[in-house]
Amino acid sequence: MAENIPTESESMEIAQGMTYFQETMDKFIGTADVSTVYARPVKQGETIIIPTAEVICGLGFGFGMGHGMGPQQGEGDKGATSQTEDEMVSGSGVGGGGGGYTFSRPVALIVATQDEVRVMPVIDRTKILLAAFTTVGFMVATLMRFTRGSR
Amino acid sequence: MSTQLIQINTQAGKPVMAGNTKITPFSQSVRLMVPGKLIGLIYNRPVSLLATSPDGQEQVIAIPDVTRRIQFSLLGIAFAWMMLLIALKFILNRRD
Repeated sequence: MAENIPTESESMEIAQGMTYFQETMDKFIGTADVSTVYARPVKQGETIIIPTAEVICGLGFGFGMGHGMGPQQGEGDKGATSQTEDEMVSGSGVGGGGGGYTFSRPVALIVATQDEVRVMPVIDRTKILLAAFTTVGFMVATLMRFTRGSR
Repeated sequence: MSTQLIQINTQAGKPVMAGNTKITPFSQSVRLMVPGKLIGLIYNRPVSLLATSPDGQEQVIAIPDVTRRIQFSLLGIAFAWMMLLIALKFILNRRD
C-alpha cells in the first residue's frame, strides 16, 4: 500500500503556502504596532493634529492535503477491487485558504498647540443610540415579563 | 512567532514635536494567538500621551474612549435593572 507521503512538488507547494501564510501573519502581527493607532500628524499652521483610532484585526488560515488511489481512467467498469495496486493510479492534492477582518474606529483627536496639548474625544452617536435603544428595549421587555409573571 | 495565547503590551511610539513640547504616544495591544495554529486576533488602542516640556516637566494625558465608556455604562444599567427585577421577584415570592 502506498504511504501518504507528499511528493517533492507537493512539499514545494506546502512550503510556498506556508511562506505566504507566514508573511501575511507577520503583516497581521504588525497591526499591534503603535503606528496603526496613531495617524501621521497633520500640521495646520502652528497646530498639530494627530488622529487616533482603535484597531481590531482577526485572521485565520487553514490548509490540508490528501492522497488516494483509484482505478485507471476508462477502466472503471472493471471495478477497483479487480485491479491490483500496480494497475491503479494514485492522486493527491493540496489546498488552503484563509480569511480575515479588520475594523477601525476613531477614538480621539490630539490637538497640540505651542501652549498646550489637548485630547478631544470622538463620540460615535450612531453606536451610542443603537446601544441606548437596545438597553431600553431590554428593560421594557424584562419589565413586561416581570409584570406578567407576577400577576 | 510567540507561542503565548494572550499577550498584552504597552508600546511607545515615535515622539512628535509640537512647538517646544515633545509628545510621545503610547498604545496598548492585546494579542490572542492560538499556539500551533495560524489563527489570531489583535486589539490595539491608544492609551495615553506623555507631553514633555523644554524645562523637563512631564505630563501624562489619558486618551479616553468616550463611546466605549457610554456603551459599557448602558450595559451596566441593563445588568443592574435585570438584577433589580430578579431581587424584586425574589422578595415578592417570599412574601407570598
